[in-house]
Amino acid sequence: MREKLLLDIGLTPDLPAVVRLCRASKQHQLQAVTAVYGRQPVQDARRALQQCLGGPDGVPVYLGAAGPLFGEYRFAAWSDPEPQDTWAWDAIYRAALAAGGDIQLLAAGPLTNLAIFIKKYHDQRHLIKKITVLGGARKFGDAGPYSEFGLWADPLAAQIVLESDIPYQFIGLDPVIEAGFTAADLAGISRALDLPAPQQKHRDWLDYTTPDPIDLAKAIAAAAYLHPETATWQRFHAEVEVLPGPCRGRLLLHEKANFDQCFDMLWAQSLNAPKLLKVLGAAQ
Amino acid sequence: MCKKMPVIIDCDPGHDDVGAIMMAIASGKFDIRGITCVPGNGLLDYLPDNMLKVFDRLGVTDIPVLRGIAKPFRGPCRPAVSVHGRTGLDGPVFRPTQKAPLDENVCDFIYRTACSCDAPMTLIALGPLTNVAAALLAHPDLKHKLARIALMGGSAASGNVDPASEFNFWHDPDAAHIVFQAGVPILMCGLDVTWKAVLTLEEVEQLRALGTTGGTLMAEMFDYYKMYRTSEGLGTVLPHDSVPVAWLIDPTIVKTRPYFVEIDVFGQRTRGCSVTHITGPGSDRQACPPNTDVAYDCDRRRFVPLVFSAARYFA
Repeated sequence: MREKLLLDIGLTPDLPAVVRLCRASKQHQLQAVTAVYGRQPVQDARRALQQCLGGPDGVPVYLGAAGPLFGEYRFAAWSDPEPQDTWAWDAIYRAALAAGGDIQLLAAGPLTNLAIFIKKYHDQRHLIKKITVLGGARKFGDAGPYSEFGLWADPLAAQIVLESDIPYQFIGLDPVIEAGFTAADLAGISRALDLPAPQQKHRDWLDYTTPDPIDLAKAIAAAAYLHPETATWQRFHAEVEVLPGPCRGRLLLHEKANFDQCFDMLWAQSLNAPKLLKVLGAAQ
Repeated sequence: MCKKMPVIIDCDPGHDDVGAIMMAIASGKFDIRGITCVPGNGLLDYLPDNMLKVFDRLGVTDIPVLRGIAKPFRGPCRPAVSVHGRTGLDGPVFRPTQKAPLDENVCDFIYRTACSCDAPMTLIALGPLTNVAAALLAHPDLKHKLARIALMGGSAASGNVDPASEFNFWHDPDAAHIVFQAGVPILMCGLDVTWKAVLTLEEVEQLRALGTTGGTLMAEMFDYYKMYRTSEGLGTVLPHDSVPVAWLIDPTIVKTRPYFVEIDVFGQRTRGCSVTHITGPGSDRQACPPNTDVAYDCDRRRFVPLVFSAARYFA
Protein backbone atom coordinates (compact mmCIF):
# COMPACT_ATOMS: atom_id res chain seq x y z
CA MET A 1 0.00 0.00 0.00
CA ARG A 2 1.30 3.44 -0.91
CA GLU A 3 2.24 5.90 1.83
CA LYS A 4 -0.01 8.93 1.82
CA LEU A 5 2.03 12.10 1.56
CA LEU A 6 1.45 15.83 1.94
CA LEU A 7 4.13 18.18 0.62
CA ASP A 8 4.72 21.62 2.16
CA ILE A 9 7.11 23.68 0.03
CA GLY A 10 8.32 27.16 -0.81
CA LEU A 11 9.58 28.37 -4.17
CA THR A 12 13.08 27.07 -4.89
CA PRO A 13 14.87 26.44 -8.20
CA ASP A 14 14.25 22.70 -7.85
CA LEU A 15 10.59 22.91 -6.76
CA PRO A 16 9.30 21.31 -10.01
CA ALA A 17 11.73 18.43 -9.51
CA VAL A 18 10.62 17.82 -5.92
CA VAL A 19 6.99 17.72 -7.00
CA ARG A 20 7.78 15.44 -9.94
CA LEU A 21 9.71 13.02 -7.73
CA CYS A 22 6.87 12.83 -5.21
CA ARG A 23 4.28 12.20 -7.90
CA ALA A 24 6.41 9.60 -9.65
CA SER A 25 7.10 7.58 -6.51
CA LYS A 26 5.47 4.17 -6.61
CA GLN A 27 5.65 3.90 -2.81
CA HIS A 28 3.96 7.25 -2.11
CA GLN A 29 0.67 8.94 -3.02
CA LEU A 30 0.63 12.72 -2.98
CA GLN A 31 -2.63 13.88 -1.36
CA ALA A 32 -2.15 17.64 -1.32
CA VAL A 33 0.47 20.35 -1.50
CA THR A 34 0.68 23.41 0.76
CA ALA A 35 2.61 26.49 -0.25
CA VAL A 36 4.82 28.44 2.12
CA TYR A 37 6.90 31.58 1.64
CA GLY A 38 10.55 31.15 0.89
CA ARG A 39 13.00 33.50 -0.71
CA GLN A 40 9.99 34.43 -2.88
CA PRO A 41 6.42 35.27 -1.78
CA VAL A 42 4.04 32.44 -1.04
CA GLN A 43 1.78 33.45 -3.94
CA ASP A 44 4.66 32.76 -6.35
CA ALA A 45 5.13 29.32 -4.79
CA ARG A 46 1.44 28.56 -5.19
CA ARG A 47 1.48 29.65 -8.82
CA ALA A 48 4.49 27.47 -9.57
CA LEU A 49 2.88 24.50 -7.81
CA GLN A 50 -0.37 24.90 -9.71
CA GLN A 51 1.59 24.90 -12.95
CA CYS A 52 3.41 21.71 -11.93
CA LEU A 53 0.36 19.89 -10.71
CA GLY A 54 -1.95 20.55 -13.59
CA GLY A 55 -5.66 21.34 -13.73
CA PRO A 56 -8.59 21.01 -11.33
CA ASP A 57 -8.37 17.22 -11.31
CA GLY A 58 -4.80 17.41 -10.11
CA VAL A 59 -3.46 17.45 -6.61
CA PRO A 60 -4.93 20.44 -4.73
CA VAL A 61 -2.67 23.31 -3.71
CA TYR A 62 -3.37 25.43 -0.62
CA LEU A 63 -1.95 28.80 0.32
CA GLY A 64 -0.03 28.99 3.58
CA ALA A 65 2.00 31.46 5.58
CA ALA A 66 3.45 34.51 3.87
CA GLY A 67 6.05 35.03 6.58
CA PRO A 68 7.43 33.60 9.81
CA LEU A 69 5.56 33.48 13.12
CA PHE A 70 7.44 36.62 14.02
CA GLY A 71 10.64 38.30 13.04
CA GLU A 72 11.97 40.73 10.53
CA TYR A 73 11.95 38.30 7.60
CA ARG A 74 8.50 38.67 6.21
CA PHE A 75 6.85 39.92 3.07
CA ALA A 76 4.37 42.75 3.21
CA ALA A 77 1.60 40.39 2.08
CA TRP A 78 1.51 38.81 5.53
CA SER A 79 -0.04 42.03 6.83
CA ASP A 80 -3.17 41.66 4.71
CA PRO A 81 -3.39 38.18 3.23
CA GLU A 82 -6.18 37.34 0.81
CA PRO A 83 -8.87 35.33 2.65
CA GLN A 84 -8.78 31.61 1.93
CA ASP A 85 -11.50 28.97 2.20
CA THR A 86 -8.89 26.53 3.41
CA TRP A 87 -5.54 27.59 4.72
CA ALA A 88 -2.55 25.27 4.51
CA TRP A 89 -2.73 24.25 8.19
CA ASP A 90 -6.43 23.38 7.83
CA ALA A 91 -5.65 21.40 4.68
CA ILE A 92 -3.01 19.43 6.60
CA TYR A 93 -5.57 18.65 9.28
CA ARG A 94 -8.25 17.58 6.81
CA ALA A 95 -5.85 15.40 4.85
CA ALA A 96 -4.62 13.79 8.05
CA LEU A 97 -8.17 13.22 9.27
CA ALA A 98 -9.16 11.68 5.93
CA ALA A 99 -6.12 9.40 6.10
CA GLY A 100 -7.04 8.25 9.60
CA GLY A 101 -3.64 9.20 10.98
CA ASP A 102 -1.77 7.38 8.22
CA ILE A 103 -0.12 10.30 6.44
CA GLN A 104 3.38 11.73 6.32
CA LEU A 105 4.37 15.37 5.92
CA LEU A 106 7.30 16.32 3.74
CA ALA A 107 8.45 19.88 4.41
CA ALA A 108 10.84 21.68 2.06
CA GLY A 109 10.75 25.24 3.29
CA PRO A 110 10.26 27.25 6.46
CA LEU A 111 8.19 25.23 8.93
CA THR A 112 5.67 28.00 9.62
CA ASN A 113 2.66 26.13 8.17
CA LEU A 114 3.51 23.07 10.25
CA ALA A 115 3.95 25.13 13.40
CA ILE A 116 0.53 26.77 12.96
CA PHE A 117 -1.00 23.32 12.35
CA ILE A 118 0.67 21.97 15.50
CA LYS A 119 -0.55 24.90 17.58
CA LYS A 120 -4.08 25.10 16.18
CA TYR A 121 -4.68 21.35 16.25
CA HIS A 122 -2.65 20.82 19.40
CA ASP A 123 -4.57 17.72 20.47
CA GLN A 124 -4.65 16.12 17.00
CA ARG A 125 -0.95 15.50 16.57
CA HIS A 126 -1.51 11.74 16.58
CA LEU A 127 -2.97 12.19 13.09
CA ILE A 128 0.51 12.69 11.61
CA LYS A 129 2.62 9.58 11.19
CA LYS A 130 5.92 11.33 10.54
CA ILE A 131 7.37 14.68 9.49
CA THR A 132 10.38 14.74 7.20
CA VAL A 133 12.14 18.07 6.86
CA LEU A 134 14.28 18.63 3.81
CA GLY A 135 16.39 21.24 5.47
CA GLY A 136 18.38 22.18 8.49
CA ALA A 137 22.11 22.39 8.86
CA ARG A 138 24.71 21.53 11.47
CA LYS A 139 27.94 22.79 9.98
CA PHE A 140 27.18 24.25 6.56
CA GLY A 141 24.58 26.95 6.05
CA ASP A 142 23.16 28.74 3.03
CA ALA A 143 21.38 31.52 4.94
CA GLY A 144 23.76 32.02 7.85
CA PRO A 145 27.19 30.52 8.48
CA TYR A 146 25.53 27.45 10.02
CA SER A 147 21.89 27.85 9.07
CA GLU A 148 19.85 26.45 6.25
CA PHE A 149 17.31 28.96 4.94
CA GLY A 150 14.16 27.11 6.05
CA LEU A 151 15.18 27.06 9.71
CA TRP A 152 16.86 30.45 9.57
CA ALA A 153 13.69 32.12 8.28
CA ASP A 154 11.55 30.81 11.15
CA PRO A 155 13.55 29.17 13.93
CA LEU A 156 10.63 29.39 16.35
CA ALA A 157 8.48 27.31 13.99
CA ALA A 158 11.28 24.75 13.76
CA GLN A 159 11.54 24.53 17.55
CA ILE A 160 7.77 24.04 17.75
CA VAL A 161 8.07 21.08 15.35
CA LEU A 162 10.88 19.59 17.43
CA GLU A 163 8.79 19.88 20.61
CA SER A 164 5.60 18.57 19.00
CA ASP A 165 5.88 14.85 19.92
CA ILE A 166 5.29 13.97 16.23
CA PRO A 167 8.05 11.61 14.99
CA TYR A 168 10.37 13.52 12.70
CA GLN A 169 13.50 13.18 10.61
CA PHE A 170 15.72 15.69 8.86
CA ILE A 171 17.65 15.43 5.62
CA GLY A 172 19.75 18.54 5.88
CA LEU A 173 22.33 20.39 3.87
CA ASP A 174 25.31 18.63 5.43
CA PRO A 175 24.80 15.14 3.91
CA VAL A 176 23.96 16.67 0.50
CA ILE A 177 27.22 18.63 0.50
CA GLU A 178 29.29 15.80 1.95
CA ALA A 179 27.92 13.23 -0.54
CA GLY A 180 30.62 14.37 -2.96
CA PHE A 181 28.61 15.00 -6.11
CA THR A 182 30.88 16.10 -8.93
CA ALA A 183 30.05 18.86 -11.39
CA ALA A 184 29.21 16.16 -13.93
CA ASP A 185 26.91 14.46 -11.40
CA LEU A 186 25.05 17.70 -10.77
CA ALA A 187 24.73 18.35 -14.49
CA GLY A 188 23.36 14.83 -14.92
CA ILE A 189 20.86 15.30 -12.10
CA SER A 190 19.68 18.57 -13.66
CA ARG A 191 19.15 16.86 -17.02
CA ALA A 192 17.34 13.90 -15.45
CA LEU A 193 15.04 16.21 -13.50
CA ASP A 194 14.48 18.55 -16.42
CA LEU A 195 15.96 21.50 -14.59
CA PRO A 196 18.17 24.25 -15.99
CA ALA A 197 21.83 23.28 -16.14
CA PRO A 198 23.60 24.37 -12.98
CA GLN A 199 25.97 27.27 -13.14
CA GLN A 200 29.50 26.13 -12.66
CA LYS A 201 29.83 27.35 -9.09
CA HIS A 202 31.97 26.02 -6.32
CA ARG A 203 31.68 26.53 -2.60
CA ASP A 204 34.36 26.48 0.02
CA TRP A 205 33.61 24.29 3.02
CA LEU A 206 36.31 24.81 5.63
CA ASP A 207 39.26 22.96 4.10
CA TYR A 208 37.77 21.69 0.87
CA THR A 209 35.78 22.85 -2.09
CA THR A 210 32.87 21.19 -3.84
CA PRO A 211 30.68 21.97 -6.80
CA ASP A 212 27.77 23.89 -5.37
CA PRO A 213 24.76 21.56 -4.90
CA ILE A 214 22.55 24.14 -3.19
CA ASP A 215 20.16 24.70 -6.11
CA LEU A 216 19.49 20.95 -6.25
CA ALA A 217 19.61 20.28 -2.51
CA LYS A 218 15.85 19.89 -2.00
CA ALA A 219 15.50 17.55 -4.97
CA ILE A 220 18.42 15.40 -3.82
CA ALA A 221 17.05 15.32 -0.28
CA ALA A 222 13.57 14.44 -1.60
CA ALA A 223 15.07 11.54 -3.52
CA ALA A 224 16.75 10.36 -0.33
CA TYR A 225 13.42 10.55 1.53
CA LEU A 226 11.59 8.61 -1.18
CA HIS A 227 14.40 6.05 -1.27
CA PRO A 228 15.57 5.76 2.36
CA GLU A 229 18.07 3.04 1.46
CA THR A 230 20.23 5.79 -0.05
CA ALA A 231 20.86 7.32 3.40
CA THR A 232 22.32 6.27 6.73
CA TRP A 233 20.58 7.58 9.79
CA GLN A 234 21.53 8.47 13.34
CA ARG A 235 19.53 9.56 16.39
CA PHE A 236 20.17 12.75 18.34
CA HIS A 237 18.48 15.05 20.80
CA ALA A 238 17.83 18.20 18.76
CA GLU A 239 17.27 21.89 19.38
CA VAL A 240 17.21 24.93 17.15
CA GLU A 241 18.96 28.18 18.01
CA VAL A 242 16.10 30.64 18.10
CA LEU A 243 18.02 33.68 19.31
CA PRO A 244 18.93 36.31 16.75
CA GLY A 245 22.58 36.40 15.93
CA PRO A 246 25.03 34.54 13.74
CA CYS A 247 23.78 31.10 14.84
CA ARG A 248 20.09 31.81 14.38
CA GLY A 249 18.39 28.78 12.82
CA ARG A 250 21.29 26.43 13.48
CA LEU A 251 20.42 22.84 14.32
CA LEU A 252 22.06 21.68 17.53
CA LEU A 253 22.31 17.90 17.62
CA HIS A 254 23.27 16.46 20.99
CA GLU A 255 24.88 13.05 21.06
CA LYS A 256 24.45 12.98 24.82
CA ALA A 257 21.28 14.13 26.53
CA ASN A 258 20.00 14.82 30.02
CA PHE A 259 17.69 12.30 31.64
CA ASP A 260 14.63 14.34 30.68
CA GLN A 261 15.58 14.75 27.00
CA CYS A 262 14.68 12.32 24.23
CA PHE A 263 16.71 11.27 21.22
CA ASP A 264 13.83 12.37 19.03
CA MET A 265 15.75 13.47 15.95
CA LEU A 266 16.44 10.97 13.17
CA TRP A 267 19.15 12.71 11.13
CA ALA A 268 20.38 11.63 7.72
CA GLN A 269 24.04 11.30 8.57
CA SER A 270 25.24 10.52 5.04
CA LEU A 271 23.90 10.02 1.53
CA ASN A 272 25.13 7.43 -0.96
CA ALA A 273 25.81 9.44 -4.12
CA PRO A 274 25.98 6.49 -6.59
CA LYS A 275 22.68 5.07 -5.33
CA LEU A 276 21.05 8.49 -5.51
CA LEU A 277 22.30 9.04 -9.03
CA LYS A 278 20.76 5.72 -9.98
CA VAL A 279 17.32 6.45 -8.47
CA LEU A 280 17.36 9.91 -10.04
CA GLY A 281 18.14 8.41 -13.44
CA ALA A 282 21.38 10.35 -13.62
CA ALA A 283 23.87 7.48 -13.31
CA GLN A 284 26.49 7.61 -16.05
CA MET B 1 -30.76 51.11 24.87
CA CYS B 2 -27.03 50.52 24.22
CA LYS B 3 -26.12 47.37 22.39
CA LYS B 4 -24.03 45.02 24.44
CA MET B 5 -20.35 44.72 23.58
CA PRO B 6 -19.66 41.30 22.06
CA VAL B 7 -16.75 39.66 23.86
CA ILE B 8 -14.95 36.39 24.31
CA ILE B 9 -13.12 36.01 27.61
CA ASP B 10 -9.91 34.00 27.27
CA CYS B 11 -8.64 33.09 30.71
CA ASP B 12 -6.98 30.61 33.06
CA PRO B 13 -9.63 30.35 35.83
CA GLY B 14 -8.16 31.20 38.29
CA HIS B 15 -9.44 33.03 41.40
CA ASP B 16 -9.10 36.49 39.90
CA ASP B 17 -10.41 35.29 36.51
CA VAL B 18 -13.63 34.13 38.14
CA GLY B 19 -14.00 37.49 39.86
CA ALA B 20 -13.54 39.27 36.55
CA ILE B 21 -16.11 37.08 34.80
CA MET B 22 -18.60 37.71 37.61
CA MET B 23 -18.02 41.45 37.23
CA ALA B 24 -18.52 41.22 33.48
CA ILE B 25 -21.80 39.30 33.77
CA ALA B 26 -23.14 41.53 36.54
CA SER B 27 -22.46 44.75 34.64
CA GLY B 28 -24.95 43.85 31.91
CA LYS B 29 -22.67 45.58 29.39
CA PHE B 30 -21.33 42.52 27.63
CA ASP B 31 -22.64 39.89 25.26
CA ILE B 32 -20.31 37.14 26.48
CA ARG B 33 -20.08 34.69 23.62
CA GLY B 34 -17.80 32.21 25.35
CA ILE B 35 -15.04 31.48 27.82
CA THR B 36 -11.90 29.95 26.30
CA CYS B 37 -9.39 28.41 28.70
CA VAL B 38 -5.61 28.61 28.53
CA PRO B 39 -3.08 27.09 30.95
CA GLY B 40 -1.42 29.51 33.30
CA ASN B 41 -2.82 29.67 36.82
CA GLY B 42 -3.29 25.92 36.49
CA LEU B 43 -2.90 23.14 33.98
CA LEU B 44 -5.48 23.02 31.20
CA ASP B 45 -6.81 19.67 32.48
CA TYR B 46 -8.44 21.50 35.39
CA LEU B 47 -9.50 24.83 33.99
CA PRO B 48 -12.65 24.19 31.89
CA ASP B 49 -13.95 22.07 34.76
CA ASN B 50 -13.26 24.93 37.19
CA MET B 51 -15.29 27.30 35.03
CA LEU B 52 -18.21 24.89 34.59
CA LYS B 53 -18.37 24.26 38.34
CA VAL B 54 -18.38 28.01 39.01
CA PHE B 55 -21.19 28.50 36.49
CA ASP B 56 -23.17 25.68 38.13
CA ARG B 57 -22.82 27.39 41.50
CA LEU B 58 -23.75 30.81 40.12
CA GLY B 59 -26.60 29.48 38.01
CA VAL B 60 -25.08 30.59 34.70
CA THR B 61 -26.27 28.32 31.92
CA ASP B 62 -25.88 30.15 28.64
CA ILE B 63 -22.14 30.79 28.23
CA PRO B 64 -20.14 28.04 26.49
CA VAL B 65 -16.76 27.05 27.91
CA LEU B 66 -13.98 25.74 25.69
CA ARG B 67 -10.65 24.01 26.13
CA GLY B 68 -7.80 25.92 24.54
CA ILE B 69 -4.23 25.04 23.71
CA ALA B 70 -2.52 22.90 26.30
CA LYS B 71 0.98 24.35 26.32
CA PRO B 72 2.80 27.55 25.39
CA PHE B 73 4.41 28.08 22.00
CA ARG B 74 7.73 26.93 23.36
CA GLY B 75 8.70 24.96 26.41
CA PRO B 76 6.57 23.24 29.05
CA CYS B 77 3.67 24.55 31.07
CA ARG B 78 4.73 26.12 34.35
CA PRO B 79 1.46 26.73 36.21
CA ALA B 80 1.34 29.10 39.17
CA VAL B 81 0.35 26.40 41.66
CA SER B 82 2.05 28.18 44.55
CA VAL B 83 -0.49 31.00 44.16
CA HIS B 84 -3.64 29.27 42.88
CA GLY B 85 -3.21 25.70 44.05
CA ARG B 86 -3.01 22.45 42.12
CA THR B 87 -6.32 22.92 40.30
CA GLY B 88 -5.77 26.61 39.64
CA LEU B 89 -8.84 27.35 41.78
CA ASP B 90 -8.08 25.74 45.10
CA GLY B 91 -10.07 26.94 48.09
CA PRO B 92 -13.82 26.88 47.31
CA VAL B 93 -15.50 23.48 47.34
CA PHE B 94 -17.66 22.71 44.29
CA ARG B 95 -20.06 19.92 43.41
CA PRO B 96 -19.00 17.82 40.41
CA THR B 97 -20.43 19.20 37.20
CA GLN B 98 -22.46 17.26 34.66
CA LYS B 99 -21.62 19.68 31.91
CA ALA B 100 -18.79 19.40 29.40
CA PRO B 101 -16.81 22.00 27.47
CA LEU B 102 -17.94 22.83 23.95
CA ASP B 103 -16.16 20.51 21.54
CA GLU B 104 -14.75 22.97 19.01
CA ASN B 105 -11.27 24.08 18.05
CA VAL B 106 -10.57 27.22 20.06
CA CYS B 107 -9.06 29.14 17.10
CA ASP B 108 -12.08 28.38 14.92
CA PHE B 109 -14.47 29.31 17.75
CA ILE B 110 -12.85 32.71 18.25
CA TYR B 111 -12.84 33.38 14.49
CA ARG B 112 -16.35 32.10 13.86
CA THR B 113 -17.69 34.15 16.75
CA ALA B 114 -15.91 37.30 15.61
CA CYS B 115 -17.34 36.84 12.10
CA SER B 116 -20.84 36.41 13.47
CA CYS B 117 -20.88 39.63 15.51
CA ASP B 118 -22.65 42.72 14.16
CA ALA B 119 -19.91 44.90 15.59
CA PRO B 120 -16.18 44.24 15.97
CA MET B 121 -15.62 41.86 18.84
CA THR B 122 -13.48 42.52 21.90
CA LEU B 123 -11.18 39.81 23.23
CA ILE B 124 -10.74 40.01 26.99
CA ALA B 125 -7.52 38.08 27.63
CA LEU B 126 -6.81 37.37 31.27
CA GLY B 127 -4.13 34.68 31.01
CA PRO B 128 -1.15 33.79 28.83
CA LEU B 129 -1.83 34.75 25.23
CA THR B 130 -1.36 31.29 23.68
CA ASN B 131 -4.94 30.91 22.40
CA VAL B 132 -5.11 34.49 21.13
CA ALA B 133 -1.82 34.23 19.22
CA ALA B 134 -2.76 30.90 17.68
CA ALA B 135 -6.13 32.28 16.57
CA LEU B 136 -4.48 35.31 14.96
CA LEU B 137 -2.04 33.05 13.11
CA ALA B 138 -4.62 30.47 12.06
CA HIS B 139 -7.03 33.14 10.78
CA PRO B 140 -4.93 36.01 9.40
CA ASP B 141 -7.98 38.23 8.80
CA LEU B 142 -9.21 37.88 12.40
CA LYS B 143 -7.40 41.07 13.36
CA HIS B 144 -9.77 43.07 11.13
CA LYS B 145 -12.77 41.73 13.07
CA LEU B 146 -11.51 42.71 16.53
CA ALA B 147 -12.23 46.05 18.16
CA ARG B 148 -9.61 45.55 20.81
CA ILE B 149 -7.73 43.06 22.93
CA ALA B 150 -8.20 44.11 26.56
CA LEU B 151 -5.67 42.10 28.50
CA MET B 152 -4.31 41.60 31.95
CA GLY B 153 -0.62 41.09 31.59
CA GLY B 154 2.76 42.68 31.42
CA SER B 155 4.22 45.52 33.35
CA ALA B 156 5.96 48.72 32.36
CA ALA B 157 7.97 48.96 35.56
CA SER B 158 8.69 45.57 37.17
CA GLY B 159 7.57 41.96 37.24
CA ASN B 160 6.15 39.40 39.66
CA VAL B 161 7.89 36.27 38.36
CA ASP B 162 11.25 37.97 38.19
CA PRO B 163 12.30 41.62 38.28
CA ALA B 164 11.32 42.17 34.66
CA SER B 165 8.43 39.86 33.79
CA GLU B 166 4.77 39.50 34.74
CA PHE B 167 3.51 35.89 34.86
CA ASN B 168 1.15 35.83 31.83
CA PHE B 169 3.77 37.14 29.42
CA TRP B 170 6.55 35.15 31.10
CA HIS B 171 4.59 31.92 30.62
CA ASP B 172 4.34 32.40 26.84
CA PRO B 173 6.42 35.33 25.61
CA ASP B 174 6.32 34.14 22.01
CA ALA B 175 2.53 34.31 22.02
CA ALA B 176 2.62 37.75 23.62
CA HIS B 177 5.05 38.93 20.96
CA ILE B 178 2.79 37.66 18.19
CA VAL B 179 -0.23 39.44 19.71
CA PHE B 180 1.57 42.74 20.22
CA GLN B 181 2.77 42.86 16.64
CA ALA B 182 -0.54 41.79 15.10
CA GLY B 183 -1.85 45.32 14.67
CA VAL B 184 -4.95 44.97 16.88
CA PRO B 185 -5.58 47.84 19.35
CA ILE B 186 -4.43 46.67 22.77
CA LEU B 187 -5.31 47.75 26.28
CA MET B 188 -2.58 46.47 28.58
CA CYS B 189 -3.58 46.31 32.25
CA GLY B 190 -0.32 45.24 33.79
CA LEU B 191 1.01 45.11 37.28
CA ASP B 192 1.49 48.89 37.24
CA VAL B 193 -2.27 49.28 37.62
CA THR B 194 -3.36 45.95 39.12
CA TRP B 195 -1.06 46.42 42.11
CA LYS B 196 -3.15 49.51 42.87
CA ALA B 197 -6.55 47.83 42.41
CA VAL B 198 -6.54 46.05 45.76
CA LEU B 199 -9.19 44.73 48.09
CA THR B 200 -8.50 44.91 51.80
CA LEU B 201 -9.07 41.89 54.05
CA GLU B 202 -11.82 43.94 55.68
CA GLU B 203 -13.56 44.28 52.33
CA VAL B 204 -13.28 40.50 51.82
CA GLU B 205 -15.15 40.04 55.12
CA GLN B 206 -17.78 42.51 53.91
CA LEU B 207 -18.22 40.39 50.78
CA ARG B 208 -18.78 37.33 52.95
CA ALA B 209 -21.22 39.25 55.14
CA LEU B 210 -23.45 39.95 52.10
CA GLY B 211 -24.60 36.34 52.41
CA THR B 212 -25.19 36.06 48.66
CA THR B 213 -23.98 33.21 46.47
CA GLY B 214 -21.62 35.61 44.69
CA GLY B 215 -20.32 37.18 47.89
CA THR B 216 -19.72 33.83 49.54
CA LEU B 217 -17.90 32.48 46.48
CA MET B 218 -15.70 35.58 46.26
CA ALA B 219 -14.85 35.40 49.96
CA GLU B 220 -13.98 31.69 49.70
CA MET B 221 -11.76 32.36 46.72
CA PHE B 222 -10.01 35.28 48.38
CA ASP B 223 -9.53 33.25 51.60
CA TYR B 224 -7.27 30.96 49.61
CA TYR B 225 -5.85 33.59 47.29
CA LYS B 226 -4.85 35.88 50.16
CA MET B 227 -2.54 33.23 51.65
CA TYR B 228 0.01 34.03 48.97
CA ARG B 229 -0.14 37.72 49.87
CA THR B 230 -0.25 37.34 53.65
CA SER B 231 2.77 35.03 53.47
CA GLU B 232 4.58 38.11 52.19
CA GLY B 233 3.16 40.25 54.97
CA LEU B 234 0.68 42.02 52.71
CA GLY B 235 -2.86 42.53 54.03
CA THR B 236 -4.61 42.87 50.69
CA VAL B 237 -5.81 40.73 47.80
CA LEU B 238 -5.33 41.56 44.15
CA PRO B 239 -8.19 40.92 41.74
CA HIS B 240 -5.81 41.53 38.82
CA ASP B 241 -8.10 40.30 36.07
CA SER B 242 -11.01 42.55 37.03
CA VAL B 243 -9.12 45.67 35.97
CA PRO B 244 -9.48 45.34 32.17
CA VAL B 245 -13.13 44.46 32.68
CA ALA B 246 -13.56 47.58 34.83
CA TRP B 247 -12.02 49.71 32.05
CA LEU B 248 -14.41 48.23 29.49
CA ILE B 249 -17.34 48.99 31.82
CA ASP B 250 -16.18 52.55 32.48
CA PRO B 251 -12.94 53.78 30.90
CA THR B 252 -12.69 56.65 33.38
CA ILE B 253 -12.03 54.22 36.26
CA VAL B 254 -8.64 53.21 34.85
CA LYS B 255 -6.14 55.73 33.52
CA THR B 256 -4.11 54.88 30.45
CA ARG B 257 -1.40 56.38 28.28
CA PRO B 258 -0.39 55.33 24.75
CA TYR B 259 3.07 53.80 24.46
CA PHE B 260 5.01 51.52 22.16
CA VAL B 261 5.29 48.12 23.85
CA GLU B 262 7.31 45.16 22.62
CA ILE B 263 7.89 41.79 24.23
CA ASP B 264 11.37 40.50 25.02
CA VAL B 265 11.42 36.90 23.83
CA PHE B 266 15.14 36.34 23.76
CA GLY B 267 16.56 37.83 26.91
CA GLN B 268 18.22 35.34 29.19
CA ARG B 269 17.08 37.16 32.32
CA THR B 270 14.36 39.34 30.82
CA ARG B 271 12.35 36.87 28.77
CA GLY B 272 8.69 37.87 28.91
CA CYS B 273 9.36 41.49 29.79
CA SER B 274 6.88 43.93 28.25
CA VAL B 275 9.38 46.57 27.20
CA THR B 276 7.47 49.84 27.40
CA HIS B 277 9.09 52.70 25.56
CA ILE B 278 8.26 55.59 27.86
CA THR B 279 9.81 58.50 26.04
CA GLY B 280 11.28 61.48 27.72
CA PRO B 281 12.96 64.68 26.66
CA GLY B 282 15.26 64.14 23.75
CA SER B 283 13.76 60.77 22.78
CA ASP B 284 12.74 60.15 19.21
CA ARG B 285 9.10 59.26 19.72
CA GLN B 286 8.51 58.90 16.00
CA ALA B 287 10.81 55.90 15.91
CA CYS B 288 8.37 54.00 18.14
CA PRO B 289 4.78 55.05 17.42
CA PRO B 290 2.45 53.91 20.21
CA ASN B 291 0.76 50.54 19.76
CA THR B 292 -0.76 50.01 23.22
CA ASP B 293 -2.87 51.85 25.76
CA VAL B 294 -0.95 51.10 28.94
CA ALA B 295 -3.00 51.34 32.14
CA TYR B 296 -1.09 52.92 35.02
CA ASP B 297 -3.63 53.94 37.68
CA CYS B 298 -7.02 52.93 39.00
CA ASP B 299 -9.66 54.84 41.00
CA ARG B 300 -10.14 52.32 43.79
CA ARG B 301 -13.14 54.19 45.17
CA ARG B 302 -15.02 53.39 41.95
CA PHE B 303 -13.40 50.01 41.29
CA VAL B 304 -14.35 48.33 44.57
CA PRO B 305 -18.11 49.02 44.18
CA LEU B 306 -18.00 47.09 40.88
CA VAL B 307 -16.71 44.07 42.81
CA PHE B 308 -19.52 44.39 45.34
CA SER B 309 -22.11 44.81 42.59
CA ALA B 310 -20.95 41.53 41.11
CA ALA B 311 -21.20 39.84 44.49
CA ARG B 312 -24.76 41.08 44.97
CA TYR B 313 -25.84 40.22 41.42
CA PHE B 314 -25.52 36.48 42.07
CA ALA B 315 -28.08 36.20 44.84
